[in-house]
Amino acid sequence: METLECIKTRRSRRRYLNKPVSEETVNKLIDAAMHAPFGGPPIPLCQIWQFIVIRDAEIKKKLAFDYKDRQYIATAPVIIAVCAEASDEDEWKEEEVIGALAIENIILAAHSLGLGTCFVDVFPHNDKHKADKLAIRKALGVPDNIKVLALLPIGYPDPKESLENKQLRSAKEIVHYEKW
Amino acid sequence: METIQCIKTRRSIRSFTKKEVPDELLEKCIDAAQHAPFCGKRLSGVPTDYTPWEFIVVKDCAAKQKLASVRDETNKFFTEAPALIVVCVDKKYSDTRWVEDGSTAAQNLLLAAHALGLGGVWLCAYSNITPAIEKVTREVLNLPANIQPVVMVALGYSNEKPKPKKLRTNAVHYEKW
Repeated sequence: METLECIKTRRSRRRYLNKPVSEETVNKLIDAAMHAPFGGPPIPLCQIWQFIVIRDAEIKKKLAFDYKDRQYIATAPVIIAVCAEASDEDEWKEEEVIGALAIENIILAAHSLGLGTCFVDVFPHNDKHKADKLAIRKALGVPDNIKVLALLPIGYPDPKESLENKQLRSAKEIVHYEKW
Repeated sequence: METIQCIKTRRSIRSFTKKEVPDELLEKCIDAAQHAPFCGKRLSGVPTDYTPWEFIVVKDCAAKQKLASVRDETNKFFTEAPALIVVCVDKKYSDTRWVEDGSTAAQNLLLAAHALGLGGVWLCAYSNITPAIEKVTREVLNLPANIQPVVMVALGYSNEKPKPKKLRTNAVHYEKW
């Protein structure tokens, strides 16, 4: 799909068809993620991303918790957990930006390949959900120096899913020249 | 340009020709940015046409130089770039996820720029700078308190051919770490 069309027609999808997503397709998404900018020389060492590909039903259930608005993630054939190497879990550092740039590449690549996904956050900077954050880390078995940044449920989107009309603001409202 | 090709051929461009970028083209990139996903829509009290982003386009040389103080080692291309765009998020409705909301929009902006024949690079993540430096940015851009700068990008016409990029191959884990 043409890039700008892909960007503009992408929507968050939360209902998926019961149709498997091949390993080859998942690898294409991760390859797209690895092509995001990462703020360093173009060598493997500076690419701080790590990806966990989850198909196991039990693990998916653990990631959905009992939250009603998260149950859909367990219905996706695959979940990609996007992680990054970090020194301190509680600090806001560049890895959250670098991670999100890669996440957006996966989201766009998925849409362009006919898949649907949704950016599911892992309760960033939300003290009410500290226990949940730990539960996600435990379910995925990540070491201490690895930050889990997002869960991306991946599947073929159910065409019957009803999507709210998307309203965007005009350039006049959001673009400021030189100063606010 | 086809999406996956665009994703794979995009490179960070740090050297620009002197050619100006028309506002119309910058606004196309910004339009792409605001098609990114964001959180907060489902919170109560959020207006239906709400999107969290605001964009400040800086072309003035003196302002670019002041903004360059956020990162000394990259001074040169801050001021050489025809336009800097500071991607901001309104924290009124996006207080816990502003880093992600700003960053996904920035990546859309960089991909759209590449697809439209421009080159760009992200220069600064405001999640990783000192309050003193953020203060400089806020003053230069006259930002209200609820408007949080997230990422600064430079855009222009490329004047370089980046070296080939090597990707790491050991980044995927199945089911668990």
